[in-house]
Amino acid sequence: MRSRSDRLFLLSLLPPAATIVAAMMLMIYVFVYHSVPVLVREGLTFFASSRWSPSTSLRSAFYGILPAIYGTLVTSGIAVAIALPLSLSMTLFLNEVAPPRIRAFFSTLVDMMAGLPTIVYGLWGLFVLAPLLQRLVMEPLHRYLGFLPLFSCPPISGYSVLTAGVILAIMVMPYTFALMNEAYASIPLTYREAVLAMGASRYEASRILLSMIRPAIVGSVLLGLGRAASETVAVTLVIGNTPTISPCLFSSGYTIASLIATQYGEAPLYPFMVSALYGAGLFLLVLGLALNTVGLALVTRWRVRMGVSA
Amino acid sequence: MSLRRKLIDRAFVAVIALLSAVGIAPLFYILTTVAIRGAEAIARVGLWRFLTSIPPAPGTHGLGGIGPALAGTLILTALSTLIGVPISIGVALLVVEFPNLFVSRAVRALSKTFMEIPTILLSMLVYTLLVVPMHTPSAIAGALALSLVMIPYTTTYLETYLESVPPIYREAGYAIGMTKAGVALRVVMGIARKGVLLGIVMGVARALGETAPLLFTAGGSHYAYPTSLTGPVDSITLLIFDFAMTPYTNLIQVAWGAALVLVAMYLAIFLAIKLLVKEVRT
Amino acid sequence: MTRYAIEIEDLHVYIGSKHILKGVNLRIPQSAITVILGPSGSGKSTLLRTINRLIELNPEARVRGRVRVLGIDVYSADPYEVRRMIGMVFQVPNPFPHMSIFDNVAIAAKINGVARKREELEKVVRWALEKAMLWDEVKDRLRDPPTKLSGGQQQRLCLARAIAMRPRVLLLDEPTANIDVYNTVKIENALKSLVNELGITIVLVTHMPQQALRIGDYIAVMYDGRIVEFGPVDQVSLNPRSEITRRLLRGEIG
Repeated sequence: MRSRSDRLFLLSLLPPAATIVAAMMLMIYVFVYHSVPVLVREGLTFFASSRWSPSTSLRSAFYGILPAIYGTLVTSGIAVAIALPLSLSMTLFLNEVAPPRIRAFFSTLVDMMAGLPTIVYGLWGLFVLAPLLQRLVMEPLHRYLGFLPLFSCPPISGYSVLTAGVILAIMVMPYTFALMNEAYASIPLTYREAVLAMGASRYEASRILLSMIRPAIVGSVLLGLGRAASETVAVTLVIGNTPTISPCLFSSGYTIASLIATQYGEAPLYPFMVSALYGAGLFLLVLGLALNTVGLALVTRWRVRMGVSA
Repeated sequence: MSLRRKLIDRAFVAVIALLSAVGIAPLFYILTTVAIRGAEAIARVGLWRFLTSIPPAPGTHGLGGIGPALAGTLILTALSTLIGVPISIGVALLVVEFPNLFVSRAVRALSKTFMEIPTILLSMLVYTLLVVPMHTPSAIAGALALSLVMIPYTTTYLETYLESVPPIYREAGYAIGMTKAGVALRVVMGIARKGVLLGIVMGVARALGETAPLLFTAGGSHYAYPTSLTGPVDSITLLIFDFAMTPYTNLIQVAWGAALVLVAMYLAIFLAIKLLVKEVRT
Repeated sequence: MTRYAIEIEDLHVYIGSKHILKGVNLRIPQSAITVILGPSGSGKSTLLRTINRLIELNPEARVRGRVRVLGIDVYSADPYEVRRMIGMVFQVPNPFPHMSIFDNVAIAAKINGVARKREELEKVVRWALEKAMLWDEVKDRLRDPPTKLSGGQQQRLCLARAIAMRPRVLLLDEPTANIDVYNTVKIENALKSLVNELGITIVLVTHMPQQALRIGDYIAVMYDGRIVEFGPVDQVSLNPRSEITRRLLRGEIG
């Protein structure tokens, strides 16, 4: 910095930057600090046990978050399993199939979905989607295919991991679509021209072009998983909130996010429960960051592979 | 092309179109449901009363309104914008005008990482940092949590717009003797000002619709208007969340009405964003 | 007080690993038009940017050597003060698109303390636009954005902006490369009158030999990062000492 006025300018910009750095450091510190008590007390069984017994007596209190981890993974998995084919189709629709005038309209609709307040999804999921799924999907599947472990439990209410997975799919889909679409649309023109010049049909062209962005698609899946795992209110409303681990899709359960949302209010009454919730939060934090880092790396790496400038 | 290839292609197009329609359909379903049930609820008391009165007692036949929650949402949104915008602008300017400093690169990476943190965890953080020492949830805490959600978002948009100002204008600014600060504020921000506004509006849209960051930080009663910024405050999103989980039909109705109000606000901002984007492009 | 407005001694510039300026020695006389003529890639634009330290905007650039403007060692002084003595017009017209025509010129005057109050600014803006031969064409639309002007008019606006600084030195980097003949002539006439009426020192970079011959008082021939020949324009054009000069003037290299 050779000039005094430049240095002053830089100094004036440092406080906002410091805020972000401080926030991040505090985040890590607070979560690690508050997780230590429960981790010291229970060790790794904290993550491996399904027992969640809140108690004011220090002897009988035990907090295991395995059902929460299970629920998080299952609902996110369902969400991405549904969202992936949908986003892929929408990407191909937008880029290969749709006539130009529909493209802008379609894009706008997806943007609208992406920003719609999540509580609205939750409300709709609770009162419309859950009963609908129960009637049209769960009951028939249970009746006719109930021998399969996936459908073996009777759907008493529509509030289940399946419903949570579906509502998450609806919410995550605009996000994974945006990622895939961006990747697909930035395939250099020369490759598209080459593919078309070969006389490929739309189907064949799509397959080839999709294979070019395969790392981006995998990355989008990971990022979608991360996004789904973080979602709180919509899931809390439809998942039933019980500490269940079951292979059956129609059973209720909970996720780390919904566990925190429902228990945090009363947690200070029980020793170690606050720490347990922070421990769960820490797990979610690490999981989310891991998924996001790898996902982001993949999404940006495909460009290097294809020789696209960033 | 052989018949087989043609048929596969046709089938492909049909499947793609179908799946895309399936993907988009929930939006219509949701908007229609909210419109119908929400309108039903609001119509029972009239729009003005719905927006200003307090909710009914649980289980009664009366309907009331979402006055305190609406006030809370407006306060929280305004406050979080006030906190978040200067920070976003500051960080964006730092990253764009001093790109080679370690601080800039670090903050850029951190800011992107922040975007990916689950919002409920931000609520827990602000709870520990602010609500516990203050012994009360508050508008400030809620706004702080919201701004933590908003800042990485807005910063990223601002960075993009500021970077896209062509270098020839920066050169012109320096050539007439402007300092770095002058170029940054008068030339770069001046040229990118519509983009800056767009980034801010997008941040507002984000803050408006969030629930999780407010869960342990805002804490207001649905029945009482907020009295101070250091006291608890409600929000439309929290109200919907709470009432949806009750077994009382009248409260659930209020929740639908509130959802309609929220969606209307969201769509209004969405429209504003779309119009601004058009202007920024030209 | 020297006779020379700009003195460059043993100037080397590296951009990344490329050696762009390889020991430039040049003395530019005051109150005259010195044209730097050379083919593209010879380092002319880089040389210009070392005079007002704009080269420093490129993080990969390294500068060695001495540059003195009006007796002041440019690289020891405050860069912003240096730039306030020197005006610059760029190859691609760059009037600030978000300001009106009036404000584009006024801001240069304001920053450099040439004028502050409304009436003074109006006088300076008018004066600068007249000197740039643009006043008649814009006097009725001073509030319009510059995007409404043609490319040639925008470039004259940029010239007015530089003039409004009341600089002692004016640098022009191929200012007419992208504009039409009509505007080129106007700009060239404007430059000549700036020297005659105000005694400004002008350094103009170009790759067109005809322009050098038309308006130059002195010509510096540049090739591959070095000054190959320097002297009064008549002398150099009639009796070039270097083969490169000869070929450049004949248009054989560009």
